[in-house]
Amino acid sequence: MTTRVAKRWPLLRVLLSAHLTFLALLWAMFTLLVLVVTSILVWTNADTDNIMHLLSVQAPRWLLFGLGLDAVSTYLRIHLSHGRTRREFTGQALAHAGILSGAAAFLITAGYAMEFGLRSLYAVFDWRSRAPELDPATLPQVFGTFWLSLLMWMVAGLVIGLGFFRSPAHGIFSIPVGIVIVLPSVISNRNAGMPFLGDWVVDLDLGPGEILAISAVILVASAGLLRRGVRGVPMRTSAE
Amino acid sequence: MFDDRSPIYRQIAEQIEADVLRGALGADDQVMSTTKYAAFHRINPATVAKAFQQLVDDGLLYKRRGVGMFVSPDAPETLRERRRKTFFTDVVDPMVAQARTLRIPAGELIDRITELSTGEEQP
Amino acid sequence: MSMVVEVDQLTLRYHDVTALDEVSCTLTGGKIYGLLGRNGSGKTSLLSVLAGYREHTDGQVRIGGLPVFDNAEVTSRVCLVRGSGDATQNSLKVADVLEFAAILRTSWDSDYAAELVELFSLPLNKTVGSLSHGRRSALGIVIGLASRTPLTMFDESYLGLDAPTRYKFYDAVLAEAMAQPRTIILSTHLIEEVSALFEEVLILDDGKLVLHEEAETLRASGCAVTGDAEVVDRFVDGLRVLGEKRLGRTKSAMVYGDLDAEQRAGASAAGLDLGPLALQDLFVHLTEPGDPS
Repeated sequence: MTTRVAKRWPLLRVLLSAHLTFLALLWAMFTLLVLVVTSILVWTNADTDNIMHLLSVQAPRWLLFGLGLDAVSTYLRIHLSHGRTRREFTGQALAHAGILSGAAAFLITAGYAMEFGLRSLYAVFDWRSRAPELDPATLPQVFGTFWLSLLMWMVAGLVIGLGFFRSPAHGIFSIPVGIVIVLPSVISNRNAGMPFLGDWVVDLDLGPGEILAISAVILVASAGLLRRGVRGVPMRTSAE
Repeated sequence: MFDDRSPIYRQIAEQIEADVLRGALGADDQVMSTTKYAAFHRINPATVAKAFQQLVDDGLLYKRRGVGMFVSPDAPETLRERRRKTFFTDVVDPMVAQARTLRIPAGELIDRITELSTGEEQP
Repeated sequence: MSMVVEVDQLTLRYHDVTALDEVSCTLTGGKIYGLLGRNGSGKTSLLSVLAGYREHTDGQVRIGGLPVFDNAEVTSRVCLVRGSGDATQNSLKVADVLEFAAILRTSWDSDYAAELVELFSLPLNKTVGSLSHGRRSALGIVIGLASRTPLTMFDESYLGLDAPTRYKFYDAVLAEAMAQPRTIILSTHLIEEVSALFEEVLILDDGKLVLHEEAETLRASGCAVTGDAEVVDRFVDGLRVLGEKRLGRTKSAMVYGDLDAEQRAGASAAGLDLGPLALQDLFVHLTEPGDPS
């Protein structure tokens, strides 16, 4: 029998190797697409702002939300089937959410940075982007905002994923919980296309400090909820 | 090859006994190891071990530590002796009963046996 | 740590169903066990509890003297493959499934896994979802075997496999069991093909353990008594009758339990025919719906 040294954070390594590659691939394709499309739009002197902003805000959220679901529905199953414990799961899944959302935020910020580069390129051709000017000094803020927002969306994915892993009824009840988790990000990013929610959340006009505090509270509560939810969760057969 | 209708260890033992009686396994020949036998016939090794143990207990096989199991030199004779004891109850009695049901006269039976036996003695 | 499995008064209820009803048994380990039962008899439930996939409702389960549920010390030494396995997710490539197994399963043997992948000719670069049912089952089998866990359980893992591949599976199981002391539990409702592999047999019916016996003892302990209906009835009176068949005046009764020499002589004197009973028949009769036993 081969003996091996037990590796630390095995699930985290599995999750990262599965999701990071996927994320990087998607980002490369998406960025390329955006650059090509914006270049064309700028060239034709069309209004580029809305569509691209909406896409870069909406698509990553839902992607990270989906990866949160996947972390539970695919990987909790694999994790348990290899004799790992439920207790181990929460910590590594949350760490994964933190790292993956950070990576995603970094890639998006990199995309923004590339746009600055492009603007100088446009200038050479004497094209003019009609999108509002961005100050490179705001990049850390862009990164931070995206990170927090995507983290919350992924945590919401974990919570709802765990709900449905438990039972369809738990799944349905976990949806409103998921909405509460993403609320701060909806407020901070403006309510860009979030269904079922009116614009009243935007009118709350919370400052960054307040949003951070609320997010921190929600994160701690979600971690507790995940820990509790996963504790006795039965692994049903796929046929069940 | 082995069925579920009687203990498999008994079937294994009977098969090895048959090999010994036929001469396929001679005196001091090594028999297949338990694991090989189990793998070859897809049988639980504990079942095979039980069969071999029974053959050892019956004096038909002997163990050489670390080497394996071998056929006892007097195994064929032991087996023949044992079979002789049960030959009449196992073989002859049912045959006679069968003959009676079919109304075959005893004389005819005896003639046939004599015929077969003398036929065998001639080369 | 020895892998003795001790199950005491084990009850499992979910969705208003009693999946396991006060099951008690002890598996001493290092053997190949056959877990038999019809569909829905509780086989998967029992194995799921033993693997820590589910928490039981009542009673006690201990493996190597320790509680099982969410106890890494136990579950890291137990592997259950249900059907084609919970570790084989459709969206993943075969190579990824194996890589993740290598990371997560502490006792994983990569060389052996590669050998088995070759044996079952599994395509590493295809996704699990694109594989045939049989190939998916084979992948589950690879995971179970290469996990090299002291307690390894296959729950109907042969489904979709063709006969030659099933025999490869049986051969691999047997070779593993002999190469190193592993407790292997095979659950199935197709008995004839595998029963020679079993050292002990457990039969579940309707969530209850109806039998736990050495396979060889079981093979010797059934008997079909055939003859005139009245004579058969008189003979089997007081014996444990599993089932009866009748054709005209002739009746055949399946009797469970060893008959002694006197009983056998009595049967023969009464003109009754004593025939052996196959494990498969025994199983069918023990698990027949509405079985009085």
